[in-house]
Amino acid sequence: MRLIRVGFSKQAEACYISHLDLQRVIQRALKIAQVPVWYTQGFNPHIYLTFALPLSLGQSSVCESFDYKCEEDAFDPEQVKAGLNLALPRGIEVYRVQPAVMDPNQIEYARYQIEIEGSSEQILKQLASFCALPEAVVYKKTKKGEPKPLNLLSFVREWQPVATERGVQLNLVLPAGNRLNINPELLCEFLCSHYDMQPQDIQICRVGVYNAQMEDFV
Amino acid sequence: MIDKKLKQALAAVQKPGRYTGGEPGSVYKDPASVDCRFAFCFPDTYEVGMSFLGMKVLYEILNARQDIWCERAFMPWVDMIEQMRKLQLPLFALESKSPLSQFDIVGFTLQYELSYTNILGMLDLAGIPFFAKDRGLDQPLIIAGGPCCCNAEPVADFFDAIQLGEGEEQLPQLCDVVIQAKKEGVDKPELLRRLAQVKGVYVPALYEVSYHSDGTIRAVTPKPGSNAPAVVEKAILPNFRHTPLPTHFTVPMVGAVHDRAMVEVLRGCVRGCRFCQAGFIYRPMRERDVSLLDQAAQDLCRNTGYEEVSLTSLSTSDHSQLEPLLDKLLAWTPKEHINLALPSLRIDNFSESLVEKTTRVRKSGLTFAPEAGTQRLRDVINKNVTEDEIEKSCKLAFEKGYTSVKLYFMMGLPTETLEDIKGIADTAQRVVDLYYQNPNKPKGRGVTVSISVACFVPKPFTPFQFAAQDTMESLRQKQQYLLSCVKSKKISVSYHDAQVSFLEAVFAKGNRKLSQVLLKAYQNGCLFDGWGDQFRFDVWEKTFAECQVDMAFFANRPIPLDEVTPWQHFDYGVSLDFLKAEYAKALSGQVTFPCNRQCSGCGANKLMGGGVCVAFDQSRVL
Repeated sequence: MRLIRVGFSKQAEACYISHLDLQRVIQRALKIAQVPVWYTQGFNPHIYLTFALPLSLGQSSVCESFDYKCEEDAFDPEQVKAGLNLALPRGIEVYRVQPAVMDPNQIEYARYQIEIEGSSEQILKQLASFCALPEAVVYKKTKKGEPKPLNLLSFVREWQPVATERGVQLNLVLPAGNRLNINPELLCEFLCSHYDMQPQDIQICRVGVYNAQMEDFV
Repeated sequence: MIDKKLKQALAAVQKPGRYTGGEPGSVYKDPASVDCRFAFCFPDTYEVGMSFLGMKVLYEILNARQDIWCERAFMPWVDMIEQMRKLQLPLFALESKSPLSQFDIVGFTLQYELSYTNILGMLDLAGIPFFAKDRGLDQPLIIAGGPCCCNAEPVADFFDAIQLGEGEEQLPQLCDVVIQAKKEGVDKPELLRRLAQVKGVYVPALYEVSYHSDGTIRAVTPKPGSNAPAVVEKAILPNFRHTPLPTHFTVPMVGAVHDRAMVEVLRGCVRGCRFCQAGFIYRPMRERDVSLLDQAAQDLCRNTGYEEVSLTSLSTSDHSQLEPLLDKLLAWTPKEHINLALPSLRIDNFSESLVEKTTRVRKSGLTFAPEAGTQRLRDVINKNVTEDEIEKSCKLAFEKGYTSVKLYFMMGLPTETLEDIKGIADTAQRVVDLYYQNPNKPKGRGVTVSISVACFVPKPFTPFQFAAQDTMESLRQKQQYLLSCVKSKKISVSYHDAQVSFLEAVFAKGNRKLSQVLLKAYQNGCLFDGWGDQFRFDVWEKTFAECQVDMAFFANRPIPLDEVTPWQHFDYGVSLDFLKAEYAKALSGQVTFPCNRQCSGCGANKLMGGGVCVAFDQSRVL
């Protein structure tokens, strides 16, 4: 049995497919593409399918992945890729199919590109003043449902704002994965509530997922 | 594709995926390359609408044409409506995101009387004038189809054209007329006159309704010079047996109510249950060819990735070739991990091999519909099911390992007494007892018998169209009485809200005067009336009072056999004389045989050119 990792992007309308719905969409696409997949052997057999790092509703990504299992000899990556791309909805595109190398538990960081529309000069100023804050406290819901205070500034690993034609592109690296996951949404919410920014002017795109050594998750 | 306003709205609502489109199977075209843009509107939520087979059928047929682009639109849920109003975002179709006002034709399906306010809600959100008379050619043509069109009078003023009967061939014909008229640049009155010439198309503006002083109808007649037919006969497929099925569903990503492959195995019903509108308006019953069904199911599953295929119809086990069909399906479904579902089984021909065939993949609950609690009343409604058959079927189901049974009943049926209500509880109790008599019942597992009791709503084109609905007070008393008759904890009882059924009856049997009431009710805030948490009966009562229209006149008044009904100018094949005769037989407790055993001469054979009816002899295909 092999574990196959499929890398895909999720953009445009597909940003609004929830994680739960995405599992069904992928399962059906695997079936349509007639990918040889392994079914669980329980009372209610279903396709074995896992996702490394769920994406929040509304965010786009160019580095998502899911894993499925198949028999050793039944694997043709190009065929799987082509078949899935025909079957998947608009906005989801497979770019890589290969045997899984890393364990999803090794994921430590993720890179995001945050597009903020508006006056570049003003936004850069606002971002600079954000960075100069002594702390930026947000509340993250724990598994028990209680909000836990976090200082956002202490978690930012990389921070590179660049002026663009339409505003600013912020390149950002935050902790991600099972151990500690900081959703960039928290940062955007903070910016919107403390500065003159509107949520509809901000688009978050995940562009990289890494292990502790900042190597691509493959 | 998703502009800023839409993005802002999507960020503020539950399940935004309902408004984004992009599902596998969606069809995209260049608007500049088509002659007719058609918006197929379902006046309820996405989840409900995406379960509807009719939309998939017509979506595929229209989009197969190069010159037509059919898109979908649904009623946004209340949170989205609020956002759309706030952001001045007009209602759009999911594929192109174009506002509905930019379409050539906006077509609504009328599946349920209590979705009528949602039609107004959708027109309003789209910025389209409500009344047909207020719309020029700069606005889309607003049309309707579906079962409720058999009495379209309560909504007649809103629509330019209403389609009676089967849309597979009729809707493309209607589009052709619109395309041709557009090319010729004809005015709207001329377009309407042309539309009235399409088989089964009713153009309300071309008819005059006159009333007696007591509010009943004197006559509905075509206006002079309109050339519209005095009686509109429904459209029907000439060769249903070999009519292709849709094989490319648009597969919802946000869970629909029924999210599975569906193949329509037969249309119409041979049974003639006297309360059932579908049992009469879709006559004559026609079966589809078994090889065609098997191939369609395969294609559909392979194109959609669905893991369940449902054999859909009003009464699937009445297909004369059901077992051969199941054998064909079972030759490939298990190895492809596909489950078979037979949603409408009948108690009287629920056979052992049928149970085995359908439970091979996954076991689910069983549902039966005895409809009435005593044999006497079942004879009145012509539900030809006997006590013995109920017992036999349940016994069989329990032996096969089922532990839950759902039973559907109605209350408020003509001639009903408290004896019949008690009979509902007794029937359920006997089913519980049967379970415990089964020596092989699973250890440590009890049985659940759920009884669901609907309120009877008299419907047009049924023998009970002449009958009055029970008053809400009487229905509530009967519901309480039923609860007092249930002694076992294994039996759970649920029943319908009498207010909802009352309003349903008003609109089912209503006339054109209700258009004004409907609009007023919408303006007073009524929307999503079919949703328990949104239904506001007090507002409805107030609105009817404001409009000085008596609800009981429509719902609780028996219709004399010689009265002109609001639907008398429609012809669904079944003759008025037949309905009268059936009503008389009902009142004297006489049953009528199903069409495939003995033809009762309802008149539906005329629709197929006369002679021996196809429902009696399925080999008769024109």
